[in-house]
Amino acid sequence: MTRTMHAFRGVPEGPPSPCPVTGIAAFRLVDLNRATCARPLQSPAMPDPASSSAAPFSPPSAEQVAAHLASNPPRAQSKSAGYAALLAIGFAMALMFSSPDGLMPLVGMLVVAGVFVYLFRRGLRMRDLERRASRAAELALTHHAPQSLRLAWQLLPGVTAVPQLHGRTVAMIAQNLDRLRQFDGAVVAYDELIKRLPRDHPAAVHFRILRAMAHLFCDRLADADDELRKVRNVIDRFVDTAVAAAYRLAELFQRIRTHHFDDALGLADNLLDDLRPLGVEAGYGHALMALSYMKFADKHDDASAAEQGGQWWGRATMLLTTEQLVFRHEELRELSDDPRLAVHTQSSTPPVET
Amino acid sequence: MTDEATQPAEPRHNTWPPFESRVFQRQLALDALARRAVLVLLFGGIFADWVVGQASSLPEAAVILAAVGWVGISVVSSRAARAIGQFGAMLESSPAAAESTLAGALERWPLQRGARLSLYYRLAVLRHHQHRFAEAANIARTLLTERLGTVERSRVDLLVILIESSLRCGDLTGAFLGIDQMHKRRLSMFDQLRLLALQTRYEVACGYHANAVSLVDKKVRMAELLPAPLAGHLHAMLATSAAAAHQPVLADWLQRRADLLATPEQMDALLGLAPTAAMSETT
Repeated sequence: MTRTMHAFRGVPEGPPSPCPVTGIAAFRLVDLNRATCARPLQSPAMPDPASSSAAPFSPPSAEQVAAHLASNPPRAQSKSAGYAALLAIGFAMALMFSSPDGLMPLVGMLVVAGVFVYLFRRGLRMRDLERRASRAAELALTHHAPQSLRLAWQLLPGVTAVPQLHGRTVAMIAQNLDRLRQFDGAVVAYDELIKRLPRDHPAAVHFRILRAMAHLFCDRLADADDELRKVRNVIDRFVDTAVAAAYRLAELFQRIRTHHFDDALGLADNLLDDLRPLGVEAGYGHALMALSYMKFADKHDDASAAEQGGQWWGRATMLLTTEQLVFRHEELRELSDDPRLAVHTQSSTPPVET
Repeated sequence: MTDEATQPAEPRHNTWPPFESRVFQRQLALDALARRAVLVLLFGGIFADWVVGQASSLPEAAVILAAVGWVGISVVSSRAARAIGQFGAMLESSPAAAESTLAGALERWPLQRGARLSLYYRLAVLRHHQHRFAEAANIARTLLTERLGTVERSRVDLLVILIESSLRCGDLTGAFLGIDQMHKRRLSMFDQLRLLALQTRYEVACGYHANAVSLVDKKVRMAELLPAPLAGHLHAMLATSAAAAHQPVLADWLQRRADLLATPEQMDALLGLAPTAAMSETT
């Protein structure tokens, strides 16, 4: 018990207010960070986009993406380096034991030391690659797409010998290009990912849906339709997952892009539940549904449809800002200026009471 | 023939007995004993060879025996590690098979220290998965008092298991100590997200509602990075605290957002106590 408590010593400094439940000092988030980490909760591990690079950013074209991916394909991990290291050690041992006198034992020891230094450096390099890949993923997750894209782009040549890391890096490039509305480039990256995965692998299905979305953004409606038709056959296996939610969003977006607003309303019944796995990004779907209702209301002069549209718009703006919605889907701009929706617009930031 | 006779027999799975710190320490000691015996043999052989020279071949035999012993320990350890290579997938598909494999690996002797600790780390994961929270917390607590060496990168996972299991058992002191330890470490963003969720649960459970809703805007931005059910659950917990801290507008906003992110069933499944029920009590 003593040993256990010793390991957990270091109750935070600062004015302790005794816990009514446990009888020990309560900590406050800010105090604890100051006392024990000397850094705020978010800042240490939250990636600092400014530190990635100060150079001006211009996203790559689809041709550049294709060329970069073609020149850095994944390679099967070579076992020759491992065998060479084993052979070198064997050779060194033979040298050491064959002639115990003279310089040979020293040469043998130097060879062994050289092999260990090589293996150590290889391990360090692998850890550095993983660290950089994690950093790029964090930047992507926190919506710093240019910085994440730059890092992933630079990382790719170094990870060709690690297929798993290579796949993650290409996925990051695709995701960031998608976020930056560089859909042609994103399609190229999605193609590369899909090509290397088994056809019905969940990740492959997800990438195919994202590629269909990118096709829709590029007005390649036939390609998108073809893709979504194929996915429809397997989507039942992904009930209540982000894959199914992405499919539902793509389906809705397809109807909007083809101006089938009335058809889009047919998805309204279960849309709230269907899109939930997307988290706050479900807001894009809610906003597209609001657009469908408003178009329907305008066409049929239906006040109740406008009211429904307002409710969907309220849900969308509760999860995402109007700027985010309009940046992603240009067609939503008309909703952001619609006076009928002003009353329904919510805030996506918490109303902090002072 | 009966239906039972025609059905294929269920595979028999071994189980590992409830964790005891004493047994764990004894296993570590026996492993260390084997490794030290090999080292003693090695250095003893070299020293004897230096002293007696070519007079006897026993020292050389001792060195060769030590090398064989060391290779033997490495082979046993790598076999144990290989046996649990697919542990994550097994845990999802069949926890009983995972436990059986793990029990087989834990029975091996002698193992390198890192291999033994790695097996016990997986045992903690398994117990947590099996909802045997008291035992999971006990394993995690015991491992955290050890020098983890090659398993050091699992320390944060062990702390998460400790905090989560302690909260599930109602051991708020244990949860506090785990959270305190996590704050002292350099955490990746993903670990910070896990810490945020656990700390908020702790604060809600203790009734530190003002602390829970402090920096709420940052917490909400971080919560958005979590998978949707967890994000919804965190919003619901913050809503509970906001209501208790007499911030009804904030509580209402958080609860409405929670409802968009997760269903009540998802949120209830995430935690024994239902935040939605707690919310209605406090309001």
